Amino acid sequence: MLSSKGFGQLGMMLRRRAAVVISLALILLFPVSIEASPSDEYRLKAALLFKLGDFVTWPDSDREPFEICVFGKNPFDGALVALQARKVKDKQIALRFFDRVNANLGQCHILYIPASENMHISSVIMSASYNSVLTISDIQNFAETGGMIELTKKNNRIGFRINLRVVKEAKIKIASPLLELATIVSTE
Amino acid sequence: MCLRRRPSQLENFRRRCLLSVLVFACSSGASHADDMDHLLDLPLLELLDMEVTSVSRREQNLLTAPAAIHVVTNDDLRRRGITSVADALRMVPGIHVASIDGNKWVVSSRGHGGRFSNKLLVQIDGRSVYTPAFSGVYWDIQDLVIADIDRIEVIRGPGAALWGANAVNGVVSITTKSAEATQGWLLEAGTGNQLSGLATLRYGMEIDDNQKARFYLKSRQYESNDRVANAGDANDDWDVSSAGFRLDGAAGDDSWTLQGDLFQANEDQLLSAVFQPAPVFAQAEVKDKVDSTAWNILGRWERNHNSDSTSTLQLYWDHTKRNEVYAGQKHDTLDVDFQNQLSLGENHSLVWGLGYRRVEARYRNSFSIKVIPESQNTDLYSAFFQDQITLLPSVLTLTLGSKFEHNEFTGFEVQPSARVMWLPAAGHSVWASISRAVRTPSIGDNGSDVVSSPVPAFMVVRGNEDFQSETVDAYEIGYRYHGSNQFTIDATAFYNEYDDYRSFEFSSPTVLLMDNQIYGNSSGLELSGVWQAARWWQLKASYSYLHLDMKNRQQSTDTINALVLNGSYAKNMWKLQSSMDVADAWEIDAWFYYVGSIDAPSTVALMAGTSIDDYVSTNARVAWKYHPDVELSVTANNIFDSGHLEYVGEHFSVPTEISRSVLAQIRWQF
Repeated sequence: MLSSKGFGQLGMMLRRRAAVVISLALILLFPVSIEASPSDEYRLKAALLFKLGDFVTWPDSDREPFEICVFGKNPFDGALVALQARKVKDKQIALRFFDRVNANLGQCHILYIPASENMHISSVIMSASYNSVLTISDIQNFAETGGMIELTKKNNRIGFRINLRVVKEAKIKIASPLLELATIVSTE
Repeated sequence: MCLRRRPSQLENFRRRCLLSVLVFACSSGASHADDMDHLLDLPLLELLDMEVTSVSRREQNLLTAPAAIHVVTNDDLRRRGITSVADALRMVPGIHVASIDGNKWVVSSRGHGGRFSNKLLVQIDGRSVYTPAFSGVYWDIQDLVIADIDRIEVIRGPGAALWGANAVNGVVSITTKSAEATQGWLLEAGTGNQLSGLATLRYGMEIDDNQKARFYLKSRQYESNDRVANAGDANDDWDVSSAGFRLDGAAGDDSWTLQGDLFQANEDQLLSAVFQPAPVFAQAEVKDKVDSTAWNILGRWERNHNSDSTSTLQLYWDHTKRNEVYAGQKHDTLDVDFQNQLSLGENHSLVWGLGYRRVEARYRNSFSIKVIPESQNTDLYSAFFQDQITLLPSVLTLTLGSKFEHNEFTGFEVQPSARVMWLPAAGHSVWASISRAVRTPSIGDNGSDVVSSPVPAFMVVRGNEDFQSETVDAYEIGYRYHGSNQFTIDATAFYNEYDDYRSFEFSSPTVLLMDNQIYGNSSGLELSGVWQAARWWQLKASYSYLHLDMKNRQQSTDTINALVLNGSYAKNMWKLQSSMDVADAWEIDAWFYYVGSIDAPSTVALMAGTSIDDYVSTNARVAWKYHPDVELSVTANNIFDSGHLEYVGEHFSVPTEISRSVLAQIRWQF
């Protein structure tokens, strides 16, 4: 058996810590109800996801419903819900949420990859690459690393960077009013 | 414009909420749906003109990280039928994973492998899992519900500036999913010829709108392998069970996590010898039982401050206890860590932190192995900063950082790094780095007596109070191609200069004293690529080359350690993976890896003249989704090989062949 002598000092410290941890746990477990409210940032981004649809043409234009997808942890809270009552190009919007990479990602019209999923960008983009999926994210340099539309922030406003090359590769067309608002990263 | 006005109201509201969190339940009166509808009716130009004062910090893109980083995702783990943490790393480019026997692993990056390898920093959800006695990892007791792992980040090369000592050749950081992402039931059962029994039960529940929790139970039972040359059973059967929970909550700008695990492993092992005082000297081939238990509890609190700044406070207590015939070890670790991320202007993204760790260690010594003193406490203080400086937006970034540590044995250690990332054009990134890392002395390096041979007299390897930190200066360059969505390339080359490496010097005819008389260098190349060959077919390939040249200083009397360092790695490795999705319900995966020959895996093997032949391992998994919630799978490892030797461990190891294995699994999630 191992001796447990000499644990006094840490023991006391740990008992005190344990008291803190336990009271913390009790506080945490005590039901607290704060209505989760979407942040301004994500309400604005949700609105942008909706608006972008008007400026983009997908090759298989008959595909219905209009699928707006989020990969991984959904940062929008409730902000996307209002989109379900709307239409893009006369097609009803449907929301889809993915928690694993699979070929079904290819069914999305718009695929949003939140900042929390920065580890998965490459695998998500690649698995959607044989379909015409408009990929959008606010992860830094998204447009340089195979993404299509990167949301940026400047002077507390949201902007776009667009990688036209991968957009074209996916046979997606972006109308010029949107291109004029954006920074074009690759035109090749 | 409503958005421009709202932030202050919202913030006031949040502040009120936070104050009253424990007393009242506060509710927001405004209807967000109405606001949302208003936003949706605005033209794009007006949306883009809106000012949002609290835009969250933009997450760094891993694909433009100036380091050799690779991520193993949850999908990768599922698609290879992974059941243990060490095996999860087998297909990572440049990483060498070898089984010594059924319950002992070697995991190394860029050489310096071995069961008691101390050059890799490993952590699970921010909790360090190396054993302070020798600064290595007991992989057998690192048990997790594999389905609940979100990702494993592997950094090859030094990560010390951010992560601290022992991140000499790499960092492995395992992150489990949040409780929110693991809601509902997961039931898993499996059986096979090696892993004869696997059972997992996980339940995730909602406590209220803001808090989610999960609980799990897991158990595995393994059959034994065979010794080399048909020498019979290797006596390495074992079982491991674990239980744990995780609770995640969020309210306003705060989020928190409380998690804990409990592990118990019972392992058989066969020891080549156990030394005893004269006149017995040694007992050969001892069947021993390892009894290992561990538990931990961790709390983390994160707060998003108003503008571009996040603070995290983390506290954990980790307990491990391991008993085997030649030693007993008990460690209690208390760790407190504070981190703050903030943006200074447009061009500086700063992270800094402070840490404190106390380890209370208790040992049961034997004639073979003594840790001196048997009971000791050590304190570690640390601080770090890292500034990511944007020199040219989206083109050139410079990252400067350093860790500062004060440890019990060598005092202050400084571990700086400088990294540059250059994006010459969309789809191409080039990076370079210079960094310094140290491997601080373990408790065993500082004071221990290990009997290494009973003849001609008892030879003892002795720890040394004056043992210094081992150091590396690392130079790396890398290139990534992401110009196409169907094809990516990642290449890294490195050159490391090592100094003050551990040597054993004769201080008397029967005593070898630990010293720092070895130096040298390593160089290597790591290439990997991914090709999405079709919508349903992905191929991944990697190749790595490594060369080590470690030498003794002139005055050194050590004739063994440099030979082992130069002989204990595979010069060449390649890995190939194919993943197919067939007809929606089927996943078909095959993977192959080649590990080059290893001349001198350990001192014991060098003395016995045992080397490891190169081998190709062929593996496959077929999974069928019988129902959206139910998946049936069969995984086969080492298909064309009834058994092969992967490594021979340092102390008292009996060479054991790793057998071909087949595992059938069912996973039910609802």
